[in-house]
Amino acid sequence: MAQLEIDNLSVEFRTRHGVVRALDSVSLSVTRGEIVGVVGESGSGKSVTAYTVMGLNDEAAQITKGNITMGGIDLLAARPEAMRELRGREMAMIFQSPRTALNPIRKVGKQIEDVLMEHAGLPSRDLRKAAIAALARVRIPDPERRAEAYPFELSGGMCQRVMIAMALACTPSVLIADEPTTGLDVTTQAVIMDLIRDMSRSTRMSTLLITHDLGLAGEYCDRIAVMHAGHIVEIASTEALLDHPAHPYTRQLLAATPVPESRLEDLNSIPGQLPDLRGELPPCRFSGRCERRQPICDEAELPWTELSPTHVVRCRLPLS
Amino acid sequence: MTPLLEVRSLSKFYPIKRAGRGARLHAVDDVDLTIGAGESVGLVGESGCGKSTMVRLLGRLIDPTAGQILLGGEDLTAMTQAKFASSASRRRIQVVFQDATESLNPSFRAFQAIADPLKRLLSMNNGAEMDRRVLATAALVGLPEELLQRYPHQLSGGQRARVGIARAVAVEPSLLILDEPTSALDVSVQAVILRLLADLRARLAMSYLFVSHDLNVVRLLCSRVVVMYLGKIVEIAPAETLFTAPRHPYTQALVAAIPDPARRGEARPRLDGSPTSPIDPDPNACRFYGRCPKGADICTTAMPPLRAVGPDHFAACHFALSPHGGTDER
Repeated sequence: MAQLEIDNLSVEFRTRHGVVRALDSVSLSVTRGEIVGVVGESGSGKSVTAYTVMGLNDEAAQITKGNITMGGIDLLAARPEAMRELRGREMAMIFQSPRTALNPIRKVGKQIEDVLMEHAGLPSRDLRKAAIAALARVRIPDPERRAEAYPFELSGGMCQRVMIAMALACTPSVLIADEPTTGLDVTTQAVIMDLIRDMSRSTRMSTLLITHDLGLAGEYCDRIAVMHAGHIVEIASTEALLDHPAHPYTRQLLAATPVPESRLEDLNSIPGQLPDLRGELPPCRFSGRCERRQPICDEAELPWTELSPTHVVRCRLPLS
Repeated sequence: MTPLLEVRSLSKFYPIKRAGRGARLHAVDDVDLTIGAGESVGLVGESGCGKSTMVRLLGRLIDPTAGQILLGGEDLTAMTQAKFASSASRRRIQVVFQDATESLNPSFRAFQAIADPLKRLLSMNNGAEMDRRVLATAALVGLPEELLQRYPHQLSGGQRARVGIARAVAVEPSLLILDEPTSALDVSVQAVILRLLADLRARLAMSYLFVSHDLNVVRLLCSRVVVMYLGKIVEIAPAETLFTAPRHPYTQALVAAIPDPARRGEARPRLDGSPTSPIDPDPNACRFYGRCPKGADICTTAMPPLRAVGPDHFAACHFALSPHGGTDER
């Protein structure tokens, strides 16, 4: 059984302007030591998926169906205290903007000590040493001195490493990384991503990498799930997804992502916009933007097609 | 190519009081650069390298500490920034700022946002001519007329980006400075905006200085690329050469860091650590020393100058003369 299992999950947001169906029947699993990418444009439901797994969703969010299990534990049935115990120890999250996620008026070493005290149950005399070791593990130079710094005294890349150190301090079995390198320099991004990959491999941590960058997911993930308007439309091994995309949206997304060989003439833009997630939605939420649309696409119960044991697509007319 | 823009020994230093008396941060340090008429030049480097200061200097939004900026032979630095803002030359250099959501006035409708520079810089007054010019510019950037009465928050990200571009090109500048123009956009929209920019450059015969941290995007839009590190230009090369055969160790690390699924799992050189302090750096040492995999004794005693290493290709490294990184005869 996979370490993290998301099964048939639907999430709605009750807002003043109607019910937003943010996630619809999302299923995804991550095995031990695996890195799975969740890729899509803004508004596709990537972050809602991450926050729902962590139990950090807004009060307006309602889980209308589905299950999430971690190591066999039913996360949606867990009491708030139990979730608090699991977060930090068994599952950890790296947020998009480290500067806003860290406490601005507490030294970063102390912030890591807080996590260790809460979740690792270390005696207080060992806390400082363990916090410095956690900073050293993410290759922060001169960790003894850096532990004494406040977040504003560190660069963005350094803050991100502190947050990773904090997330990994209790060697969680599941890591959710929500755009962990957005806003960082490409050289820093490479170092941070290498680090996340090495940690996943060495501690057999299951990692869910949420990103808008298909190139980044392509380099670091074992498998990739593509999301569009609250649906997962395709899941495949990275090679299969990049070389033989089966969903029209995946193919268009790939053609829109600049890679070193791209030429401007060949770069694709995807016409149309995400559908409004309030009100009635067609079975295939991409059909309004899809150039291959046929009458059959409007029939209810959009099925999953299994192209291979590691490649599934949710489209009536998959590309071959 | 006739140079449109010539930058000579340009520097911008900021006094840093808490670092001691007379301490100065070298944001841009003795930079020479030319941009040809109709040329599109990319500017890349990590945060803190001086890219943004360059944008503000060349956009004439701040005054340099030293050096000259010549546009079509006219020395723009002969007058202060404040004088320049109301001069006839102001319209010749325009800037498209990063993230149109932040840089558009939220209380201006799209029409007003585009009309504002026409009023200020071309002294147009809400007449038929101004209306015509706004509509023509909107059409040029592919902004439907019915959207012109909307406020920024009523527009999509791509539409806002078009307003930001329209506002800058309305006064027909000869140099357009683009500061990360697509970083706030989804990839599905990015392609349209990039193509629009390429098309506008040809149609309006503008030169571009394109600042971006997305090297794949720079490669698409620029024919020449300038790499900065801690206030200095470390390499200038034709785009293809820069990406396929970079000579400076910093550029090599930068290019190696571009995510590339084709090179999955391959061990690549990584650039760790942080840059040295930009406050009063040693004038006789290479700024990259300490992080550089090739660092040697000479790097701490002589600042490597920018030297030709190939056709239109310049690098500031003691070891850049041969493609394999051997040192030159000294």
